[in-house]
Amino acid sequence: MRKLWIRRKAVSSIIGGIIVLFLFLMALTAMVIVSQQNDAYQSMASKMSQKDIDRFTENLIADYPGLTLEPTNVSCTGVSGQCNVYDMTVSNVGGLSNAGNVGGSTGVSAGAGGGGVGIQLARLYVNSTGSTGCSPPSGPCILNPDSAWFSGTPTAYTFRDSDAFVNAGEFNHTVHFYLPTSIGPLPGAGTATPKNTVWMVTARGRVFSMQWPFPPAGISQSGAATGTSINTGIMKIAYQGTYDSKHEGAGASGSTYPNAPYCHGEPQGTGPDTAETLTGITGVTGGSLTFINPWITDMITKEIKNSRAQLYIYAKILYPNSASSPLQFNQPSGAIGLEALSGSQIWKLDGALFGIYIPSGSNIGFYCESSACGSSVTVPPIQPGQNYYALFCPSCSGLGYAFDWPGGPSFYFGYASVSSLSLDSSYFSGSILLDGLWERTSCAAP
Amino acid sequence: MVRRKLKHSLAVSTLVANMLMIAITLSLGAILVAWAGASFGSFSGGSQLYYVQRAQALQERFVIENVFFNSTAKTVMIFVRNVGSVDITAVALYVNGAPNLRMNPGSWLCTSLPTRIGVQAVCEFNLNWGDYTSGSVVSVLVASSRGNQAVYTARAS
Repeated sequence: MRKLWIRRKAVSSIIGGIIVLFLFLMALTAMVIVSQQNDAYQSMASKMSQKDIDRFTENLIADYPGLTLEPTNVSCTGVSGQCNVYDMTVSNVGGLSNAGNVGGSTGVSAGAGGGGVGIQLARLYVNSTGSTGCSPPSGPCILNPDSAWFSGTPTAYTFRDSDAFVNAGEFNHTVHFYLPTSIGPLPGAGTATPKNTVWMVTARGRVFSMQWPFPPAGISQSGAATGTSINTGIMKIAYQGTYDSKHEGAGASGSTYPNAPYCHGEPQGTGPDTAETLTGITGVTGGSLTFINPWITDMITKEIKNSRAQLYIYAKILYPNSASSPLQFNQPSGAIGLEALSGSQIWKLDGALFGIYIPSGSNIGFYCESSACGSSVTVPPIQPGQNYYALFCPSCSGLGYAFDWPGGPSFYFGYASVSSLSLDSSYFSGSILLDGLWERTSCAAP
Repeated sequence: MVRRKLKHSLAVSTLVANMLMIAITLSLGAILVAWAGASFGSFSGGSQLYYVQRAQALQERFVIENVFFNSTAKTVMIFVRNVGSVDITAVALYVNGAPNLRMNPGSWLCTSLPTRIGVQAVCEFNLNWGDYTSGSVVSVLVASSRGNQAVYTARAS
């Protein structure tokens, strides 16, 4: 220590120390600055990464029936004339833990699978094939959100911006959009082949699409030998009398639409593969019932000619009279009735049994319930394992009083009624609601 | 006397020698500090530039949300949406690897490049395509000024 005190190089050592210290502090400052920049960058990277996660969590699906054309046109700006109003039904299943059960009443929860995200629709594209709708040269139609509808006058080629946001886990969300009537209706309503593609662009940059009309799924009904029809389920709508469909084939009386094949898939006749028109039925107009798809009923309600259409539900009983089941199908002589069964057994359907339809060999028989058709109709024995088709008239007090049109209660004639059914799924194959469609793959005029 | 002078070994006095040493040390120290300062400044400045540019590029998100082909008019409609957090500048558009700037004027939003696209805005390019061939596969690439790209492949209807 003493030696240090008597050294004569104190000044140089201090200066050297200051220089070293300065260099050290400068390096430290540089490190701090770089660290701050790196932190800011990492924070930004994390934020963008979260945005990407949200982006790829989005999942938007279209729900049946996809698009619905509202019956009333509205005045709109942007074009001369009026606009058709379409309702598009979508569900946000992004981030749901059990999205596979879409449509089910339970088991879907948002957030449990990593968090649902709301979806903001930024734009819709509609591209059509054919001569009307969003086809060239007018198409594709580009629809942006617009708030003008709030003032009462929407703008053509827009959709309501209040419909643009679909909450996480929200099902059956309706988006209203407006297309000018000058381009005609979107083609293909009521046909089996999709005619329109709708792209839904989200604000996060995802693009989802749907076809409309929905393409059929499944295989041929009744093992159709011709392979021209498709059975996707068990629900049917029956009408009696006649009507002129907008999309009926050439020569349809009263048709104001261009001739186009009508693909409702209801073959005429009584053969095993053409079982959808039942003839010789007592108590219905013309003595026949024609079974059609729920989605076509909208057209029927608009074009009905005999001022009355009746809605029947066409259901397929899988396990009638099963020996191993305590749920026996009661068969009084000459009639089939459900009155012997409680609501918690085979049927939970509110409605009177109208009759039963049994494909037997090459013959198709239709048998009414005795109170509806009289006791003269003989019902053949019901065999275990045989497929039967029971006709129900939901919420009607008797034959011929189901959902009269027009003049009946205001309701949506097709799927809304079907969706209100509650059937015991253990006795039916598949989902009642979504399996209720029958369509043809080819578009031959009936 | 001469011998005594020759035996004298001190060229400068101790005081002068110390002052010389201090001056030399200070000079070298100043040079070192200046060099280190410039180096650290350059380092942190370059780092800042790097991170800022990277962050801006990272905030870019743009997608080609749709491509439509009009076989009658022989045009291709390309819709580019900025879904990121910052504005972007589209500087190049390639169709099948070749720059395609035959853009139609008119009501479309984007008729030339480079073009700026705001957040959530859509840029609509309408390209002439005289060699339109139905069924051909077309790859569209849009590049931004920050080096990001969006690619879309579509088959001509």
